[in-house]
Amino acid sequence: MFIIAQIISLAVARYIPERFFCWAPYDEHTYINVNVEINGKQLTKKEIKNRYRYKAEGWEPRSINNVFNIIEQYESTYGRNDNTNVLVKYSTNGHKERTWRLKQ
Amino acid sequence: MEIKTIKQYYFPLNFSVADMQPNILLMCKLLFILLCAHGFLSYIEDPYIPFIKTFDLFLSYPNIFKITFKTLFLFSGLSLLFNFKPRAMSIILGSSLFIILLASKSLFRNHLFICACAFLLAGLSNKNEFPWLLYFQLSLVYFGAVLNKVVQIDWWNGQFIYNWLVNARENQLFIKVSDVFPEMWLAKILSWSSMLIEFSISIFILVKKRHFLVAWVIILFHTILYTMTAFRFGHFYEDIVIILLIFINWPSGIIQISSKNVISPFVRKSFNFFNFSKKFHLINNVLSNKNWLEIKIEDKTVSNWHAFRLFLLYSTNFYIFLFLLDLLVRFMFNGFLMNFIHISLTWLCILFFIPLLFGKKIKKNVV
Repeated sequence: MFIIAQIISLAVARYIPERFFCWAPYDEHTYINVNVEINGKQLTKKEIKNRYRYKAEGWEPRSINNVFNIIEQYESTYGRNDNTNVLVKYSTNGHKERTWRLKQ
Repeated sequence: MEIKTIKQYYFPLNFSVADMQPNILLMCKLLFILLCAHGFLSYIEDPYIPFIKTFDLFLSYPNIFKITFKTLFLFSGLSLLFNFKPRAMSIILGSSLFIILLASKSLFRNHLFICACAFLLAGLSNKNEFPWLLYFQLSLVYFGAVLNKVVQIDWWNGQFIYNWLVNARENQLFIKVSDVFPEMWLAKILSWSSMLIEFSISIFILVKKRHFLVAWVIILFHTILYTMTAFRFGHFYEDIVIILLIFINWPSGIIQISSKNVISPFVRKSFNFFNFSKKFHLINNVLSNKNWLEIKIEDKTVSNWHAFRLFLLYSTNFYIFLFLLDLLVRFMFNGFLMNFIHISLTWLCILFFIPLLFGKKIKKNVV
């Protein structure tokens, strides 16, 4: 059952952007810079790290969509009343820098 | 059982237990110590951004989840160390670890997930049967790794490797060597060979005849990667090396050792003291032929260096020594010196044992 669940997880990963539980370490490498603003006040990198319990800046060795997923889930649950703006600047595998914004 | 026998049975360095193969028990114990050494206990917190939102219910009762799973992790791990119901404890340990990962997306790491899988499947493996579940698991790890790579164009044009080694790691070896090749060629060669090796591993793990070769390919692949990058991917490298213990078919009977020289009573006594699993038996008679060492495994006899290599290969103390040495180096040094010592020791071990790859293999039954 446990092995079958992992095979299903591998198959499901073909249809969703996140890469949890599907053995995808180091399949992409992204430099991320997360910026969070609450009621107009900019959080420091340390505060952002404490908020998501995840790195706010640096190299991310798993799918960048994992990071977006963590931020989205936090902001739609624990932080839903915080009036937050999140902006992530990222560059995957050395490509041109892109920007991701949290959809409220 | 007499008190002395009970003490021997539950001694952490004894690996001859009723319901688990010694190499699999050794793997579980080493993985547990590895997790503790990397401070995993302190990572166990109440659910936070969980995969299953029901876990958030625990937030109304602070510390319940944290204390429960810290206790479960410690209790099952320590019980495993002391050979108390190792299969059941391994299942509890693996399940706890899995639930801890499910309770926090921020905590998810592949090097933790692989430990959870190894514990769980080790506990589900019967001592008298081949541990196929663990082989399937390892095959799935490599198959998943290659499947997630082949769908990405950056793995075909070398962009991932180039960015990782040049921009992220600033790897001077790669930068200098890639200058010799036409643009991106070295990155492409490394990308394609990684995918090919991972795919081959995932297939050949499922072929029992190829296990010995696959184990060598895995260790060489990861050690070359470690040597090139001086990076262990969390503790994924250690996890994989420890899990490779499943490839050793532990001999079922006692291994008899004969030597050319008369063994002094002190050496004999010391040897028997450290022979915790009572796996080895020192023969009294000295060898009459030219060999300086002979070991008899079931009905096969091997001699000299080959015998010495097999003696180490089947000695649980040897793995524990290497494991503790690795941890000691990690705690004593850091940066270049730590990696240099680790990599040098690893290659010394590989060079010492590699003749086994080309020598005559000894077929044995599962314990």
